[in-house]
Order: sequence, then structure tokens, then C-alpha cells
Amino acid sequence: MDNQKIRVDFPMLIKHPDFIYFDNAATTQKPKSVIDALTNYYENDNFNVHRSVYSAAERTTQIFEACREKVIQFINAKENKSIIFTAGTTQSINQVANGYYKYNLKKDDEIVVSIAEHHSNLLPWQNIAKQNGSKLKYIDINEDGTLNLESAKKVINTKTKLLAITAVSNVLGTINNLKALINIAHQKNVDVLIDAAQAAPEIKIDIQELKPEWMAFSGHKMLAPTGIGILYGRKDLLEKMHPTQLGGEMIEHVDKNNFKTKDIPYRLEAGTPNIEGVIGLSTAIDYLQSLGMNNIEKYCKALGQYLYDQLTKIDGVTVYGPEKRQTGIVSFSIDNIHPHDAATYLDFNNIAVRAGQHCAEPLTNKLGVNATLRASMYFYNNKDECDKLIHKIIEMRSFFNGA
Amino acid sequence: MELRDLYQRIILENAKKCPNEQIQNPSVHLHNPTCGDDISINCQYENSLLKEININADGCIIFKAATTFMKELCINKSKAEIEEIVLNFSEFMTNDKDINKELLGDAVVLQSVSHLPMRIKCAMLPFKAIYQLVNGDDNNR
Ligand SMILES: Cc1ncc(COP(=O)(O)O)c(C=O)c1O
Repeated sequence: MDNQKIRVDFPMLIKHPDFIYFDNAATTQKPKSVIDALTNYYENDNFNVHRSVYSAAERTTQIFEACREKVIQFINAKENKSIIFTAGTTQSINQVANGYYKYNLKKDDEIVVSIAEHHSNLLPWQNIAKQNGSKLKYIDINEDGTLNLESAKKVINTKTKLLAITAVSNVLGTINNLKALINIAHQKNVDVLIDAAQAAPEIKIDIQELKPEWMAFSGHKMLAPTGIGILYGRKDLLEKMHPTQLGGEMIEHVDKNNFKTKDIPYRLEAGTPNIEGVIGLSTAIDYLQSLGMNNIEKYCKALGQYLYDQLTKIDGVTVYGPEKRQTGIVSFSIDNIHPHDAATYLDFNNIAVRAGQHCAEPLTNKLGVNATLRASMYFYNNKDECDKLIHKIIEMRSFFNGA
Repeated sequence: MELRDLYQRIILENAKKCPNEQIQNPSVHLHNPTCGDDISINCQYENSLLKEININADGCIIFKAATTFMKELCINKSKAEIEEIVLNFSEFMTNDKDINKELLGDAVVLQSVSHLPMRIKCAMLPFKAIYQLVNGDDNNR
């Protein structure tokens, strides 16, 4: 992958050449092709889908449904119609919790998550557990931050009904061994939900190979606009899912007192959808596939390793997670400098990193810190930017400590 | 604004002096969930004045310096005086010109923070804590 050539595709990077954007786990920048696709949509195809007879609207409907097929092919799901469009990972997971498990969990059933979950894959389950009298159990991590598979084997038992787990930790940058986890779960007849918010942008996920029951991810973390997300569901489960939203677009017919819903996926997509978001996501997938998911994974992993190696050379810097890096996400802290002050220092030097708990408070507590710094890199970042960050961290220490 | 305006020597020094006492049952405990700034606070009154303020605080430099300043400003003051200090500081942070700077003592060196919306809550947290403290339990939650 030619980094310089790739950067040209991203107007933000070209317009702000001195700005180092290392907060890609929060959201990614958009390539020109995605921005153009949105403009083209508004200039030529801005019609509502699934409701009008005129040919322009019919064309937009066809484009829209072709995007659905594109997403299904991206995750290699077998059945068509097995995804629904949502607003993002958070909404996808909430929809599974409130539209399915709310009706399928009994008292003393158990839900299993890991200690490293993003709040979006934790709070919906805390809530359902409370409402249904079910129990929430945690898989632990090892000393080095990787998921403890032995702990998973112990925690998942015959009472477990669902394993809800992230594919990539947004703090530690680790990739969980989904194959092993799903194997453990399926042996006990446990459903699996994958939070792929951080994985979808960086690694190839193959539904037919992994066979999870559910998977959720967000467009904006993989080059697409905000406000569009995906929920994959095994078809028979989607068919049993209760719609959490009722209204237009989802019904076959309505009388004064009753309504009959359409089939999936429309039954679960009430209201006018985020058409521009769907088109943007499809265009983003084209871009990602033109680079190749394997190349993206390799590049980000190597860059994450490079930054890790440089950071660990600095005295007084602690990097969280394993020595062998798996993604472009690197969380760290600097002795005697609070992450918030460090992030402000870097901000004044045109480097954007995240400081805080990264929406994963149980994990930061487990790591024994109040907050950390996080540099999350994507395929358009490079070693040169890492070197600049390193340089500023060294400079920062004399600024704060030697003043 | 330069980084040094935000992190002046006097701010760094006062951050180092931030009180960090053991506190058993704090009357007020506040926590900033985005960055982890954390303050627990207790006090003792004598003749309606705050004779003693005990604080356990940990967080960023801005927060710790603001905590030191707050304690200095509020010791030996009455509830009404403290409320006035807090209101003045709050307006100082939102850049209101019409304030009584004399009430704020050394805390005026935090002026630059008012230009950084993301950091204002760091400086405000100790002042919020003392405000809740003197206003008793009904404001604690
Ligand atoms: C692992 C993980 N899960 C879920 C989310 C939530 O995604 P969204 O805010 O797009 O719904 C994030 C976003 O930071 C994440 O990193």
C-alpha cells in the first residue's frame, strides 16, 4: 500500500497537512469517493425509497437495495436480507437487547460479556439483566491484556444464553479469538453477538466462517458517514425479533386497531432510512475492498507495532496491551503527566489523540488507571507521524517536569 | 494563546500542592467521568465560618491547581462569601468581564483555561464541590 498515494484520496489530510489525526477509533476521515457519492446522491438521486411509483424513486430504491447486497457480501453472509440498517453499533446492540433478548431471557439465565467491552456493548445487557432477572457475567483478561480463554470456558455454562463480545478492544487494540470463543459458546448452545465496531474497519470478518448469531458495526468508523450502522442477524432470529420502532415503511396493511408487518428486513426498519448513509457506506466498502482488507489489517498492525516499539523505548511510558500488536490502536500513559494535560499539549502541537476512559470504564478500572491516552491509527497514517508524536512526548516531559 | 499561558509556573507549583488527605465519609464526592478528575471534600465550621477544609483530590494539572486555589480562597469564609467566590469564578471561566477579580486571588492565573471549553470543567470541579458542600445535602445529588 502506497501511503502517499492513499493520503491524496482524503481531502481532510490534504487540506490540513500539518495535522496528525490519531483518533480513528473514534471516527475515521472520509475519502473523496464517499464525499462525491453523497453529493451525487443529493444532486441526482434524492428520492424516498420503497414508496413511490415514479421511476426516479424506483432507481433510488434499487441503488439502496444494491447497497444492502454490498454489505452482505462484505461480511460474507449467506442469506440475503439478513442485515438491517441502523444508526450505528450502539443502536444495533440495543435493538438486539430490546427486540430479542428482552423476550427470550428468563430469570437466572446468564449473559456473558468481557471486562473489556465498550459501554455500548455493556449497558444494554446490564439493563436487560436487571429487567429480566438474568445475571451478567464477565470474561477476564490476562496480565498482558489479551482475553483469557480459560476464563471464558469457566464463565460460559449451560445457563448462559448469550455471549456478547467485541472483536477488537477499542482500548487495548487486541483482536479476540472469535473462532475459539464462538466454538466454546456454540458447544453450550449459547448465542453469540459480535461487536465489530473496531474490527469491521480493519479486519476481514466472515460470517459464514464464524457463524455468529448477531454482529453490529458502524459506518463512520470505516470511512462512511455518521448515523449509519449495520445489524447482521441470523435470519430465523431476525424473523423472531420484535420491532423496537413502529411506523411507516414496515407494514403490509393497517386498519384502525391493528397492523400487519412486512417481512424482514423491512419489518425492523421503520421510517425513512438514512439513504445517503447507506450509499456512503456502500461506497466506503468499495474503497476498502480496492485496498484489500488483508492489506489494511497488515498495514495497521505493523504501524501499531512500530508505535508500540518506539513508545516503550521512552522511560516512564507505559503501554497497555500485549507486546505483539494486532491493530493500529495503542493506549498508553506517561509517568507524572495526566493524560488530559498530555492531550492538551499534543493538541497545541496539532496532534489529535484521545484522553480518558474511552467508554470502557470497567476496563480502565481493571488496568488500575483513571484515564489513558490513546493513539488509534488507520491505513492513511504513517511512521513519520508516529515519529512526530514520539518527539512531542519526549519534549512534553521537560515542559511539564522541568518547568 | 501559548501552552505556557495555560501551564504557567505558578499553576504547576500549585498543582503540586494539591491537598491529598485521607477522607473517611466525604460530604461531597465529585468525579469527571470523561477524564477521571476526582475530588472528595469535608469541612468543619466554627462560628459559621469554614475553619477547616479537608480534601482528597487527584486529576490533571488544571484541576489540581484549581483545587489548591479554591481551598485557599474558601478557608475562613462564610457560606455567603463562598457562594460569591464560586459564582465569580464560574463567570470568570465563561469569560464574563463583569466580575470581581479581587475575590479570586491567585486563581486569576487560570484565565487561559476559559479559552479551552474542554478544560473548563477541570477548573470548575473543585468550585462545584465546595458549592455543593456549603449548600448541604439537598444539593449533593
Ligand atoms: C468497541 C466499540 N463498540 C461500540 C462502539 C459504539 O459505536 P457507535 O458510537 O458508532 O455506536 C464503539 C465506538 O467507539 C466501539 O469502539
